[in-house]
Amino acid sequence: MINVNLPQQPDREALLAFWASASLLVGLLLGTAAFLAGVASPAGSLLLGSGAAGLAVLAGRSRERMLDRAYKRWSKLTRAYADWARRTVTGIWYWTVFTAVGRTAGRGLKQADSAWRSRGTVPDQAYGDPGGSITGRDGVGGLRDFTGWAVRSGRAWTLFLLPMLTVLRAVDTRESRSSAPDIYTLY
Amino acid sequence: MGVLRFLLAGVTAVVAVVLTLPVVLVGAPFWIVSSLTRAFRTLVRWVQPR
Repeated sequence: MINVNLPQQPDREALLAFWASASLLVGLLLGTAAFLAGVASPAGSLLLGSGAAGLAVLAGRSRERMLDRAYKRWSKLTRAYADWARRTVTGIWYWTVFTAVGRTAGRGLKQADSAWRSRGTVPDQAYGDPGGSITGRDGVGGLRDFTGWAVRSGRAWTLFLLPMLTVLRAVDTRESRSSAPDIYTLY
Repeated sequence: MGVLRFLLAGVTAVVAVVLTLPVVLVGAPFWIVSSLTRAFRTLVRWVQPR
């Protein structure tokens, strides 16, 4: 799933791409609204939407200085949404999956051995590396590692947390490289 | 106990996904603009190589 955030430090290409995307969204909304309200026929709605998007793109091209401001405002809105979504999603999953599993089978969880082991003299590469931060395999095989760990350690139920982890990753506003930094306790 | 935990997590995960959907839908404009921007940026770079 793609990250909801726009690229940081936008160059001119990014600004133009952002404006084209926003224009397309406006055109899409206008066209859909016109069609749903019965104001225009399907062809007319398509024409209206395309026209609005085209005009918006041209307006942006003629006043490129305002693109940077628009980009920053949209990024701010995106961050606000991402923060809200992160809090809401973690809340929903806490009160559903975590609470249900903890209340009914929590004893089993507490008795389970921790996956953490002291390092000793074994090289770093010998340990499991779900995030790829040690071996540099950013994101490569992360899902396979997680699945393997879940099955091996008898915590296969954590596989159902994957939708939540996917959404959390997508709304992560921090500069994370592979896995979200706040999910380490799962391992 | 492991099977019970697995089943319970599965059932509640379905509920959680349904509850999470509105959160994702509210942010639909952000998802659309973000993904389109990345795609268009690649396109603009391809059309106008620096």
